[in-house]
Amino acid sequence: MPQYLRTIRQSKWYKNNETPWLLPDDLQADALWDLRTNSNKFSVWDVDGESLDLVIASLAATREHLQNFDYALFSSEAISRIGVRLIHSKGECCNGTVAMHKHCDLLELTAGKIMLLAKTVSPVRLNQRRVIELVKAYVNSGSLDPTTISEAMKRTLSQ
Amino acid sequence: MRTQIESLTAKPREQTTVAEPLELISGTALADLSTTESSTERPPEPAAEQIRAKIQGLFSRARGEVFADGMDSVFSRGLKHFIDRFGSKALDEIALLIIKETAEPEVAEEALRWIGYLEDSTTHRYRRWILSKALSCSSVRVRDGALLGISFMDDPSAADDLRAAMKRERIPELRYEMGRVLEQLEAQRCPNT
Repeated sequence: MPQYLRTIRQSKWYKNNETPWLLPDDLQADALWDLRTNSNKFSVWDVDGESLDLVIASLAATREHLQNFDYALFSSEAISRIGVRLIHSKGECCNGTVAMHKHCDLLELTAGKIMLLAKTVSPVRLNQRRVIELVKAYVNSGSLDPTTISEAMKRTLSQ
Repeated sequence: MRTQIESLTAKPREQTTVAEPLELISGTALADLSTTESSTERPPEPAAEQIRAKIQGLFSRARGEVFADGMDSVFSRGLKHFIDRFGSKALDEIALLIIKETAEPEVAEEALRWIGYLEDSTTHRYRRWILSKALSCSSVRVRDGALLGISFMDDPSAADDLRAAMKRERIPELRYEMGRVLEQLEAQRCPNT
């Protein structure tokens, strides 16, 4: 079953059971920043078991530094249950042509649908070491373009 | 503000020629430096005040700035600049803002990530100490920032503090992440296991 990846910052998604104003199953409002829309749509990346690592490496390689990589996966079942329209479109914020073709937009989003999507989020964190491994592997295999990688990242990769 | 941090436990000594954080707080270290290793004409206290004002201004201006993983920001560049230029003196002020929880949690979180990511052997122990201390902050975001900083630093000597923090941690998801970083540090300590 296809899944759709969205980068997030995991620290906003902890269920803070030490904070009285945050009810069980509710979310910190800051978390919604990670699902911010533009023209009532936001970007996700179509991933399956094989392409997940490549998409992560591709997105990580556009950053300035190789650090952790936090993300959420939306299931296609959740997307259709919530009634969100999805189209494949050209992705630009990525390194490598394969990942570029994995880009999708979630369209015609409403505040209610965003909240429903947010409630399905289970954050995943890849540590820095794993992110370095992935980017290195895909640069070496030619799937990622090393010329567009930041200088700081090149230094990390060469260590 | 200076008296508040005096209640903190002893901090690591970086190197003999660099001001000790606790001494700085009482002003004695700068006084010592002015007589033993420096011929600077600037009176010691104003220098510390100046650094404090700069760091406080940096943290204050960062409120509302958008931070993204793996990306520099105006704040992160400023933070790196001050640590690079003022070393442990800058870290004194940064530690105060974070550990006494006067900094905005999102800004403190971002600071801790970069404190762990920096490569600077002269401030390494002090930075590690700040990260370990921040694991006790009340904000989950600050604790997560400290955890990431520790994972970037990848120093096995932070393992004991992390293990203690894990026992205290009440948020299961963060406790799980702490366990993963602890495994990473312990693998570093015993690479063959």
